Amino acid sequence: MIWIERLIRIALGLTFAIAGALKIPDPQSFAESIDRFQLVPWPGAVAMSSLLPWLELIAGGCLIFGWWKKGALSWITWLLALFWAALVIAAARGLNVECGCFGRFAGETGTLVPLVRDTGLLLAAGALWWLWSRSDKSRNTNS
Amino acid sequence: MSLPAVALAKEGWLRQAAFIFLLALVPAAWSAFFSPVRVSWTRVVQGEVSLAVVRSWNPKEVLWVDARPTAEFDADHIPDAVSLNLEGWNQRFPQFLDRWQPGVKTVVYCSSTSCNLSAEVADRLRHSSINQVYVLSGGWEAWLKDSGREPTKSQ
Repeated sequence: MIWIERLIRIALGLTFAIAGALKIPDPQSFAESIDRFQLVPWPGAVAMSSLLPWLELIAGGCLIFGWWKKGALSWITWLLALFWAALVIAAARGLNVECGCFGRFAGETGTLVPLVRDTGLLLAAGALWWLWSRSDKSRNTNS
Repeated sequence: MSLPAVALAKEGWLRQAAFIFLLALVPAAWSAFFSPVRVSWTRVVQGEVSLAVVRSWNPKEVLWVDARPTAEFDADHIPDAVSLNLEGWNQRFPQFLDRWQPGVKTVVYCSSTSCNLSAEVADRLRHSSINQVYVLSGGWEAWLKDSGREPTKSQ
């Protein structure tokens, strides 16, 4: 089970660290992507475009190396839930948004592919929480 | 000691999450306020123009372009506007060219202040060598308000 936990943890951490690192050099594109969702006013999009990539990079890095891993995974879970909700709202409103998840390099349009990917990542995060709660329980039982 | 806040603070993951947030806040503040590629806190839209200014122009020299999704255009639009959005660009751009003439001022609008579609369509028109392209400040909502009508929920 340890290698499954390690595989999921590193894959999830890498995905977030890369997504964050790609967006940091071009906050303008990310702010415009956030703005297209029409959920927050422009200053909110600017604040999010400055904060979220660093949060993704640091939380992703922590998860890869296993530092503060529960805190890192809680951020990643919240962010995934946030992105998922934003994509669903955009799809429901019929907005032609580009996810902006990997900066301007991915050039993704539409909500279906990011939604499927987000769902997969949320399931991976859920699996990690489950594996950790299992190992916590077995540790408590042994002690 | 049994207060919920104290109990939460004792949770390891919550403390870790708070540390991660604080750690991210420092470079984020640099990105927001000092970075050479920082984003302007006020949105700058090239060629943004108010409805009052457009009203002052000769109506025969104004071509309205509706950048909203086609369904919203079909529901209602500014009289004589042309529907042109990024989704159906290749089909609709020739229809736009049929109506456009040199010397005409093209004013693009989308649903409201917060939408960005009009700026994107205006950029694309400029790249297609269309000159005198403007973006209506406040979009369709501003036009409705000026006409004494209330925006419906879908807008």
